[in-house]
Amino acid sequence: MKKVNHLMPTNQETILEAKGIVKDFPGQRALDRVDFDVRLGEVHGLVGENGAGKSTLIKIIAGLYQADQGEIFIDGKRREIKNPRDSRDLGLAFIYQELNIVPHLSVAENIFLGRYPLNRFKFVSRARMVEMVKEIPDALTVGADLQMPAGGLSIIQQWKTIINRALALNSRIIFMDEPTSSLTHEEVNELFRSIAHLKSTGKAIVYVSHRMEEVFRIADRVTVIRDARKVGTASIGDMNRGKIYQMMLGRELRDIFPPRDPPQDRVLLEVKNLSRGQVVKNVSFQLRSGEILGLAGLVGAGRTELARMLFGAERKDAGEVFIEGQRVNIETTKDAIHRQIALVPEERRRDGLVLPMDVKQNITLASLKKLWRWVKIPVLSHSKESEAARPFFESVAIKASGMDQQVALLSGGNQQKVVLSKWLCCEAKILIFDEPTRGIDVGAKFAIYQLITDLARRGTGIILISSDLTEVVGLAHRVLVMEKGRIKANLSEADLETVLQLCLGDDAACGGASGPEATA
Amino acid sequence: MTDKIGKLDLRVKFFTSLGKYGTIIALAAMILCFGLVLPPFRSIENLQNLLGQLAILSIFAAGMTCPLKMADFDLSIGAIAAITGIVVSKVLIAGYGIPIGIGCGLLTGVVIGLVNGLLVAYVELSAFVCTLATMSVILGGAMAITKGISIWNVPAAFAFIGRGDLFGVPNRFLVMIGLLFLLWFFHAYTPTGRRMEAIGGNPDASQMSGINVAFNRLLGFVLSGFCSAIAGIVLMSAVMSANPTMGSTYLLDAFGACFIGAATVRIGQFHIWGTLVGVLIVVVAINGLIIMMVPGYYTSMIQGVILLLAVVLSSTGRRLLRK
Repeated sequence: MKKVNHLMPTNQETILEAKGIVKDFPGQRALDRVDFDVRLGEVHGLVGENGAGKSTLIKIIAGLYQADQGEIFIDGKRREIKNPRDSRDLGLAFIYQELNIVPHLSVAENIFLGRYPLNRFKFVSRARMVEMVKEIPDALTVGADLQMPAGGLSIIQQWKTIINRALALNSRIIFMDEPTSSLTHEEVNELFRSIAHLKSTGKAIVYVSHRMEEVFRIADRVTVIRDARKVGTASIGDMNRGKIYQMMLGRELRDIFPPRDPPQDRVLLEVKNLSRGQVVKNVSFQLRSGEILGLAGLVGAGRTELARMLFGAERKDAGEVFIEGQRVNIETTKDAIHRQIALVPEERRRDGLVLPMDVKQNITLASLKKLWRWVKIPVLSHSKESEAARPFFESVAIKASGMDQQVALLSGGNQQKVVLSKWLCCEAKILIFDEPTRGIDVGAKFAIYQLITDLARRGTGIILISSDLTEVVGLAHRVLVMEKGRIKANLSEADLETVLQLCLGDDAACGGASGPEATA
Repeated sequence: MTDKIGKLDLRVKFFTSLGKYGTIIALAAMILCFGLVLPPFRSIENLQNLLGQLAILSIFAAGMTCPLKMADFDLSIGAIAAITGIVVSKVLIAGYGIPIGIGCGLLTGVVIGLVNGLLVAYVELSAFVCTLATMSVILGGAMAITKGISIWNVPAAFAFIGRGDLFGVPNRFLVMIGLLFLLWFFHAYTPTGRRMEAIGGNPDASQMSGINVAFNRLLGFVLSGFCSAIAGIVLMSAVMSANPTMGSTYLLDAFGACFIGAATVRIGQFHIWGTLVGVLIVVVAINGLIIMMVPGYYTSMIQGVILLLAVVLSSTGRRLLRK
């Protein structure tokens, strides 16, 4: 991985030190004796799964929350940070995901929000304000008219506006919380250039993210938080992806991904020259019984579209599909299900679940034929419904108050299990998973991995689409790498580094393929 | 934060307990009040009258519930009833028997429903606009057939459906009960009914579960057309005449009834028994007002208010539950 700009040495003085921070929320400990320090001129990556405690730590330093125990030192002096004003006065600036931009105020007004220069009539002086922007030391160029309303700025310009706000306040440490979640690849590069610039002027940046690739590109040091505890802080040179992943998830890689059996020889699915416009071009591959086939690539590489075409949810322009050697024509999702192909969709709340219905109704939705009371008369039997759903409800271990609980009320992981059960109930032989662990917490992730591996062991053919490279490499027997609709590589010995390089290329941006995805 | 959740919980609880049965409680209260205060309200004649009025509106509203379940509006129900009445009366006057007359009427409704369904589900027109247009086309056709003059000379034997009774229970009420049971059974116990329910809950996920969404939506319109045809036949038999405007007054009331139904027990979902509660509320309210000699223009206002109230109840309930 290339790293951007390491101009400044990082062995500099510590300006912020938090010691033994404890924070309790009702019913759970959000932070447990966490230490954290920031040095001048460094980019410090703060990483961890969603809910690990990163944001809580930042909010305590910002003065939005009060720690139950622990001390914060700035320049070696103990400081009480009671509210955001205190942290601002101490030279700390915080930029959160929801950019704090007032859309109808001008760019300059946004930079000096609430601290406007006045003219001699005690009115806000707009002219003076524009000049003051130029006087901000090391200010970033926003690249837009300072008088225009900030609502018209691109996201990256809004970022620069807010960074300038921090600079105008003489902030020395700038905290950025998940900055890239709404940025395009190009904008991410732009932001990283800005960060490098800030660093070169001696500012410290704390970069909060769950995307490992980004942290690797720009951080000098990294602190990992898991389950409210600090796992460790290390210089980025001493780390690798496997190590950080392990620290974030708290297990060895080989424990995260259950052992798998080799695939059988029998070819379940063969795809020949599947194409549609510019989205999917001439894709051919085979899937064996018991095989887990990973599909890697950036978002927009055509993986989801390929999956939807195989499932009959999108039309194809050309290409043939064979199931167990027999040519099949799949025009609709009904055809696909009839051929025992199923798709666990990326957007499970939109495409996977009927939220007002209960668990058993969702599980049996694609296999209503099993619920007929009599053989030839289409009348549903409620007892057969429970009978049909129960084995999957139990074997997949859905945590719900019962099978008649509304699926809307289940957690992400359990909703995903309901979607999976729906396909198990209609005996799918070929299962396509599209981002199966997105938005799912760590514990449920392991359960999903286990289920996928078990299914393969029982002979199901599995296609696994994931932007989490470690997940693809950890689970799959074989990995196809897609780029711009084509299959760019077919890796039988899918080793992590190769996949990473092929996926990310030389000029790789990080928005798409990244570390453990847990965005909801 | 916990406070907010607590408050939301309370509101959800309100809607799930009191809110769930709110419409039924309101209905019971209304019947009780009218029964106590208005002696004519509790007379046998009025009861029979109520059942009769109930029947036609229920048949309309139950049919309308089918496409509404899948979030499709059918505005053409009144027009379908009118054209059905005209077709049946013409066939009867031409000397064909009652079974053939009824058959032709039902066929008319089914065909129009089919056209609606094809346009909405397969050509993907907006149901609202499409059925508004077909309504206009049908009414125009009805005008052309009748030249704008009511048909009066329907054979007297046909009156048994709309005017006859079985041990004092109006026949049309029996027709309604039968139809309601059939529809309820269809929705609760058949695979197709289950699929329609799923489409109502989430059309995308239904499609992705192998359900033919377009076909089921088409079926919804066919059911609605079929029920409207039955309503048209019963209505024609009750007034023993047919004219192009005879069904139009039922549209608004049927909507009101359906939306009250969606605010009953299963909040935010349209279902047959809820719709029946809605019909009861509408019919009893209007009946009470008439007995109290409230002038007709106020009843129209009150009908509008009931519809608004019903929509507010069913949609806020659903919004709260979604959170």
